[in-house]
Amino acid sequence: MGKSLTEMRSTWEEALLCDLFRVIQAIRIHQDNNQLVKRCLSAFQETVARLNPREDITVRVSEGRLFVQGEKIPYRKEILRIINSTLLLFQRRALEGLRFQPAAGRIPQEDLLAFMLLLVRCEEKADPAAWLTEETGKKGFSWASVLKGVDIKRRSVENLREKAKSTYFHAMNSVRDVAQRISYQGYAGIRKSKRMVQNMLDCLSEDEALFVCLSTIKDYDDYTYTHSVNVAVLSLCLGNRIGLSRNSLEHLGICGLFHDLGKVDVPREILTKPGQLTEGEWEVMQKHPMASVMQILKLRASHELKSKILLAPFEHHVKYNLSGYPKVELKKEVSLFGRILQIADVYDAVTSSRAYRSYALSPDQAVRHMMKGSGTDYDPILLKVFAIMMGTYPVGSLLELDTGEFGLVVDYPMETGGTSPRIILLEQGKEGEIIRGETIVLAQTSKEAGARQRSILRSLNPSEFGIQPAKFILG
Amino acid sequence: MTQPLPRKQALRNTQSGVRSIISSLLLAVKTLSLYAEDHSHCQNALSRLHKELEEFLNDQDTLVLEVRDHQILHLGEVVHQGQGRDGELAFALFRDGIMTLAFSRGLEPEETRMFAKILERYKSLPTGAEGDIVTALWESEMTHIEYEAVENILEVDGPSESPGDPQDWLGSLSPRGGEGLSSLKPGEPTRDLKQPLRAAVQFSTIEPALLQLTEDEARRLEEMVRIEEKRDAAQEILNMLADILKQRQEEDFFSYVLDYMVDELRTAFAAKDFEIALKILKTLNQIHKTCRHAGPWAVSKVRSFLLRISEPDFLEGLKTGWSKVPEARIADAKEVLLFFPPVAVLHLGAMLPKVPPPARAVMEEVIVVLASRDIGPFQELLEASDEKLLAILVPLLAKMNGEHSAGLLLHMTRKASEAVRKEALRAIILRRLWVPQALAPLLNDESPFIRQLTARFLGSRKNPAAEALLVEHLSKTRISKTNGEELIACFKVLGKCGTSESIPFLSDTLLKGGLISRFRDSLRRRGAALALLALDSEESRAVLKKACSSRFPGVRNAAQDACKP
Repeated sequence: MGKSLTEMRSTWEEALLCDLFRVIQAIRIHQDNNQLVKRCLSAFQETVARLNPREDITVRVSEGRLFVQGEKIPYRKEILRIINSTLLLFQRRALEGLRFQPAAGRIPQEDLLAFMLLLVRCEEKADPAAWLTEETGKKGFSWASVLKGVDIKRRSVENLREKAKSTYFHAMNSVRDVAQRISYQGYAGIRKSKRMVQNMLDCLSEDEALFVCLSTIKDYDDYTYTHSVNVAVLSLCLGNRIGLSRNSLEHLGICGLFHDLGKVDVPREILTKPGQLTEGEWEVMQKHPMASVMQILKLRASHELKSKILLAPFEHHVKYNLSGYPKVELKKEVSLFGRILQIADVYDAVTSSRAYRSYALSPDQAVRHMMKGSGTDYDPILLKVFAIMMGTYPVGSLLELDTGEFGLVVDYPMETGGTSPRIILLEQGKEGEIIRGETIVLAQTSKEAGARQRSILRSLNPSEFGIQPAKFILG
Repeated sequence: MTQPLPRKQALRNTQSGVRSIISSLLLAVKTLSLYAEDHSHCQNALSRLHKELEEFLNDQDTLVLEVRDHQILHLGEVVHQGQGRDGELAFALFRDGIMTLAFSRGLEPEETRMFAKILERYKSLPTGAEGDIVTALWESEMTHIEYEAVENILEVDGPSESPGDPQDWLGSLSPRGGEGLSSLKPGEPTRDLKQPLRAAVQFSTIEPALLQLTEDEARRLEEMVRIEEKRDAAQEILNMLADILKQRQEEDFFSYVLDYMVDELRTAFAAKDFEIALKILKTLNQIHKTCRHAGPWAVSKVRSFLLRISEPDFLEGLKTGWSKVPEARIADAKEVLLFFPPVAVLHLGAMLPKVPPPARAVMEEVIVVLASRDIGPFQELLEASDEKLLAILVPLLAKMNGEHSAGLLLHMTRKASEAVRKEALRAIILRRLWVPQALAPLLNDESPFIRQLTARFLGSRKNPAAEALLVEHLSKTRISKTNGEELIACFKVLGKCGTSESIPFLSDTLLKGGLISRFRDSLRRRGAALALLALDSEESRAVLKKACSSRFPGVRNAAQDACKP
């Protein structure tokens, strides 16, 4: 890794694959009219046009391998991530592949963009290949066609939810276990945590929206462990969005899990003290990033791994302009992992209820609050990507609708262009408890005959009302 | 036309194929643990395994193995039975929670190799291991080998006490007090949000333009990721540790930091990255300065650190890999090694014969400097060294100063090995150690080279002590057929270093004679005449003149021959 895509490609087949990958990546992160999206689309078309093919170009999966124009794409380290991501793209949509006519190099760019958006969005359909074929037919995109897959199993949403919940639970326990072992026996193994991070990354690659949802899990009584996992979840999502390699994501996830390990040194009275801390208590609290470094040094892990996970936990309270704590005299800038961790840490902290403050921000308020610190407290580019990733009302937001209803944001379905949230309505049970109601997509309700038109009045913090969004969203 | 095999027979064949694959897998893993991977045994074992797997997959498309209680099953039938012992294949798979392993058609030889390597590496798992078969399989990203594993595993160092029920844990968490939805009336403002977060609420909406990456930002983001992927954070980590130790001067923490630095240095040495090694040692210096006032433990721990990095297992990394190091970087090694304590000489010196010339030159320079700080370890090394190593080490004494090293050199001139004595004498000459008395025995050394070299050295300056030694040596040495020329050379040396003190001896030797000239007398006379000529004093010239007119032909001829231009 570490090479640009241009440097990675060695054959035209690889070039085409890289260009396709870039387009998909770009439209997932950016708006349709973004310059990068346009550039990526142009690059794809240029590659097709340069080839000047006499026959259709096919990108196909066979026996777990990718073939472009019948040529097997060899596993080279430089393009491994691209191969695996493309395989996953097809697998999750049960597609065998795609076929482009030579005309694909000359069609209007907006048509190509529309096709690529359909390709991304079809994942949510019951039969993605059929849906994609139908939609491309409707739009008259004769230059692109779908190769339907055979015998490709897709994991059910229920399974994914169960796996996500279980992964979160075990990840939380692995952090607790490491903290306890370090506290009692002075050292701890890292194998379990590493496996949990790998499982988390599997969940992320299968369903990002579902995975982000895990970060809405809050535990007022045992904040540190849920917070650690939430920071890992959010960091992994952000890291994945910006295109970090699998290896780097693995390290980033471990950083997330262990970033607050130093809190084992902070007395519980300080951690759970209601109200303001005294100067002395605050001093103790400020030492925890340094203590995290010490605890990580105590881990039974290879030197190589330690060197990858030491820095970010130390830096997670150092701001982008190097203010914050601990004092850093020799540092010139905060590392990328440190900057990611800091954003994830603050977001989860301000959206969680804590003993020392009687309020917490709702997810969207948190993002807006953080945007004020862009460029001073936070890396402005990363924060922007984070805000894009979280959406206008991040997953888990509790919304009050103008109909008097309340709902939790589940995700932003692709069929609405990713702009309108899908919401689980919350209802009052017979004994006053909150129960799960109907699931609606906000934009669609107005179109349905007879349905009440709903719009968002304001957002609220779910934890203020004892609501655990994940409980409703993950079922 | 062949008849299709009956179902039972086909199944038997399949199962026997699977058993054979497992045997080949076991053999490959075993071979990998005994030989280097490029050894023909390993190559053959891996080829055989891959061939069998490939044949099976071409026929059956997939091979799915189930793991259950130290057994491996295929189609519900046990195809491999383990004993539940550490180090066994089935045990290792079961221990790591693997439930199924699936191989699919299209399997690449590289995947087979990686799979066998992973099993070999993790078949036994030490306490506190960082990874296992599952983590390694995950990291290897193999397309044709998939696995299914349990989500939770037991730690090797004992079960944890993590609470919670995996089925109903989410419900047991409390996001807050749980005031319920009824606490909020529609339209009612939310509870008062306090500063500074209150301001955030007033920051109503984010401009859509703010949520779009510009082209420049997208490019910078890509660059950030590119840099991160190839970043070596060693220097940053060192700075961080130094920063922390400025703020937390605690013994315990100091120990962990030093442990980390030892490993970092070991890695740098193995990679021959002397730039980073130098940074580590400079940081250590800095940390030492910061912490030495924190308590006596700081100084003692730094000392222990230095002793630790001077141990043979640590310095071992310097033995090999030099061929890939550019010469410019080899010079950096000197600066690094000069941070080491003199005791490192013991092991640095011992590895000299195995190190290639450019690196050896650097190490030799370092040894000289370190031994000059404390010669003790170098002396210890000399005493423990064999003849071959001594021949390398003794010349280093030539570059050292001080009486102790001079004493060692003289001690070396008495070693049994001629090569060592030779090197010692050369070193003495290079250092211009003027110790004629101590060198005297070398005039009688069994090696003609050493004898001549000693004599030449002694004759390099006018000196009564050397003169006396040579006179004594020449008077006592018996002349044989073989040492004639050497004796003549000795006389010449005496002429160079001698004074009027030796004239009586030379005069006696030259003038004493008879009518019958014997071989040994004529040789001595010739030598004495040459010595007198070399002395070139009024007195010596008078003796020669007298000899030239001697009535004895032998005496006369010797003097006249010497005086011939």
